[in-house]
Amino acid sequence: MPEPRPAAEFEEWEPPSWDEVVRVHSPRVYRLAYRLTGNKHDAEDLTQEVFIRVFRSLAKYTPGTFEGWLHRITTNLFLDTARRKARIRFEGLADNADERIEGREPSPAQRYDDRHFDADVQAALDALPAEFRAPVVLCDIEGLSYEEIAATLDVKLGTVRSRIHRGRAQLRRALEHRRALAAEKEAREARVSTREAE
Amino acid sequence: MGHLGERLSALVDGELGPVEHERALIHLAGCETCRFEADMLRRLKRRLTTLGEPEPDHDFLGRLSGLAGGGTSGRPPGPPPGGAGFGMSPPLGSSRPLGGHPPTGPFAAEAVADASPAAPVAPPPADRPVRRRADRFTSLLPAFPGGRYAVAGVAVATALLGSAFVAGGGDDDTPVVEPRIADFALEHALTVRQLPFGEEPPAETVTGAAPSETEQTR
Repeated sequence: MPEPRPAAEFEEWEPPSWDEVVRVHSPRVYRLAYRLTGNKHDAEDLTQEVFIRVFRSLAKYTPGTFEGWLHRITTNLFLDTARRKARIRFEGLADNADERIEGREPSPAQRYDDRHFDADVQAALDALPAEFRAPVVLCDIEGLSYEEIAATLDVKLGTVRSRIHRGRAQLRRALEHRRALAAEKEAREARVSTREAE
Repeated sequence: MGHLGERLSALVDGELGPVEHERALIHLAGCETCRFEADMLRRLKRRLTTLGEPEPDHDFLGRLSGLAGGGTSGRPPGPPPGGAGFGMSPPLGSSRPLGGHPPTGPFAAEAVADASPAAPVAPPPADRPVRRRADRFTSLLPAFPGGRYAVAGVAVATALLGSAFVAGGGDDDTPVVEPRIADFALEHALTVRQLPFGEEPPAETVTGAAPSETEQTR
């Protein structure tokens, strides 16, 4: 054997089958994609884009570096798309934002459902600019350190810190806004039902 | 010293250096505003951390697995056109030993029946990947326009025989294995680009009985 490495180590490593790569890594990529994009359809598209790239680069696969790389391409593909869409979306933002909030409003029956809270947070995340959303998701949902996030997004550590902080501040405002909207709607519905009862 | 500002987020995330961390805690002890802010940030973080984990669909995972066979150009929207990719080779290999035996015919035909609109009685294997690959398989059917009903007939007949065969087996776990064998047989058929039942003598002998069977089902 011409390899200078020990034989045992050489034998240990086997390139994974494609099914194995999909099975092991797709749940994580999908989860990240879902939290970044905010819906199933876009999450599937993004995940598929990521795996097309993974497939092309499978030859370069080395265990250990793979997870970080997946974070990086998922996030960057998302940011690319978000930037492209932003140009189109900004024009109709006011109408769009209302529509989105209205559309995602859960029915009263769902109000105490856990998923309702998830949907609330996800909607607030969706309202965040992509540049803030990505570091917040990587930090709080993926559990990455600031240093890892800086490497993933290719920005400075201080930038990560300030974006996370500003992102969270906006999230809080969005959640409070949604809470106020929900309370208002509840009050309105209560008024309607008392009127109907009379 | 003013309020903590973005250091609050870093504090909540445990990202302050030891000296800064100590200083921030001292500030918090004497600053109601920052304490409130830190509390809100912690709550928000907990809410994000405890978000449910969305799971990818089974169908979608199948599509991802199919990427391996779809080449690298663009985004293949559905199943790959060229049959099995390298990720699917293990199932193919394991289907080989079955290739020469009569049971393969019924199972393969059953899977085709599942894909064919002309065979409403086909017992559904109920396994999504089977459906997905079976859909791909239907693209082969137009190549045999005249044989369509015969195919359905054979499928129905052999499906019945197949069920009988399975029932005769008597084992509890046999039905669990059944869709997978059908799956493998289909994969095999796609790879060799032949209909599996065309070369099966048992399936041929059943063809005579097929029309009446088909009549009953309509």
